[in-house]
Amino acid sequence: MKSVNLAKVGRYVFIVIFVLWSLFPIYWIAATSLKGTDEAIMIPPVWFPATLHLENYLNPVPIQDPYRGWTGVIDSVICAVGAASLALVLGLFGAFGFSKLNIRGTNGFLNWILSVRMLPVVAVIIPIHMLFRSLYLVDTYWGIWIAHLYFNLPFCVLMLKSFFDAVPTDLIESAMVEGYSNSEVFRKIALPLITPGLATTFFFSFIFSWNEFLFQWLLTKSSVRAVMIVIPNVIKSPGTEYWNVMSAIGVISFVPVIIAAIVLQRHLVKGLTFGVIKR
Amino acid sequence: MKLRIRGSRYLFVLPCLAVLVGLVIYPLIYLINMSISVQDLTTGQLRFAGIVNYVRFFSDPRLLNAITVTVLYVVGVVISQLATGLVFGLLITSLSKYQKPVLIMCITPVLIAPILTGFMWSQLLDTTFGVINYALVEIGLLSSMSQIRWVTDPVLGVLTLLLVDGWQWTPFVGLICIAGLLSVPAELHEAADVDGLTRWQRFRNVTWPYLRPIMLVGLLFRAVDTARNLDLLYTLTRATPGGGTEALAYYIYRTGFEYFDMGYAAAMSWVLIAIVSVFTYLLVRTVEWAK
Repeated sequence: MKSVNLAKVGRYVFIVIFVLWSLFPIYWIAATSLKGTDEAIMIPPVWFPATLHLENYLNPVPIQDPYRGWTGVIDSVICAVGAASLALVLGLFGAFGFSKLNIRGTNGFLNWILSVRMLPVVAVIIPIHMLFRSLYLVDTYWGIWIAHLYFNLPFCVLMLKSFFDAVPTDLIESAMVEGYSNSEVFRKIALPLITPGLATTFFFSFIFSWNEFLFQWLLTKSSVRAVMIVIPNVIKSPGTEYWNVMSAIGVISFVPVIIAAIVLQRHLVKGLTFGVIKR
Repeated sequence: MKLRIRGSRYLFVLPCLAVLVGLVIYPLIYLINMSISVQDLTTGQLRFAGIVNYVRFFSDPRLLNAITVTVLYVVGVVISQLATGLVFGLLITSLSKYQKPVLIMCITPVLIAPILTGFMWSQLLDTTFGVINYALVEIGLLSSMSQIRWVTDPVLGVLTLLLVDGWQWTPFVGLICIAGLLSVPAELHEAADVDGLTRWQRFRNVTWPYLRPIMLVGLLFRAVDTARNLDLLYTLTRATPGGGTEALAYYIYRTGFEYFDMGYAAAMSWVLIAIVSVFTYLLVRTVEWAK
């Protein structure tokens, strides 16, 4: 009896450690973002900022970067919403086709699409950079939207397919017998049934775009300036250690992600494995 | 009267396939072309150079180092996250209460951009102002703040990477384990009760067969992401050139965008693509697409 309780206590201790371990870095960056510049690099470290330096969020001046305050956030939103929408629209039709229309060679196509999602960005960025330069796509929203199709389009096809798979095939078949065309089945029957899946897929694509680094880093210069590339840009030039302001930028750029993590919680496994693991 | 176009179903899949083919074929052909060229420094034109760039592989210790780092990093991630993720999954599923809030708190790191993860941890692990080394000094494990150089130490660097990568991704592997654990049919557990299996026997014979395929998929995802990971390294270790954390993806990035040696970067890209393809192939073999 006693040993059972001990095991239970041990289990709870482990879980508490795990929770603290997961949350501490997030707490720390949030705390640092509210400290003064000296306070942020004080020894001993300051656990709770004495006064809340909210101005870190308003006026990230000391940072030498074409980062223009909150416009970086706006740029990130435009990039991520546009990229996710474009991929969603293109992927939606493909997903329906592969799920419900008996396309010949479906498995092969899906395998190939999955392997496209796994392509290392660093390997394609050089050709893409050259191509985009000659098409005047560098430093434009369209450039980012198109480049992000690399990971978002395969993701949308596979993810949405897994949602379409959940629509009963009988329903589709009986509609076809009734004389519905493919596009009518798509519009009137399948699409309304997967609306929640549509939202989930969109959120995930949004997050992937928002968090993406290499394309946004190398394909933009000054007119598009995502928030995600501000920190690496500051780090690149050593000696400018404004940890508090950089942390504020960090917090700004992960707040939407944390909200999404809570909203998408139930779909996290499915989303992060592109619908391969269904649950 | 409805117009029925034969083969109209192919119109559904055509747009996305066309876009993807374009996105993949063009860069890969360009990559081949570049890898067999050298760039003329004065005109910027590409000149045919045969296999020169590939021959350079054999006289480049830094490439060998980068491949070794990548392999170590991938193997380390897979082993450590298999273990910690499994423990995490078993712990969470054993909870009778508060499963949901605990899960939400633990999975937050998963969606944070690796770029930010690296920045966060480089603050925590800093050798001058970092809170971790400060704490280690306070409890007497270290004599000075700079005694442990988490990210610049050639040996410790990879372990630090594994630590931070584990912080971010263990909950993901854990979630996958939970999915696997919950996929065991309840009847099997009941049967195991009737047969009076020990806990180990139950895990080995009842749970594991269901857990294994799902975990395999999860770990292959981790392997691919680790092999091509650059973001985390960029802000966490900023890999010393040729150093213990300069993984292949990072070396390619440097060669292309810091040394502007595009031909060689392109040639090395094929090595990275080959490594990633191995895992992707295994993954594709494991995945079963629902009909």
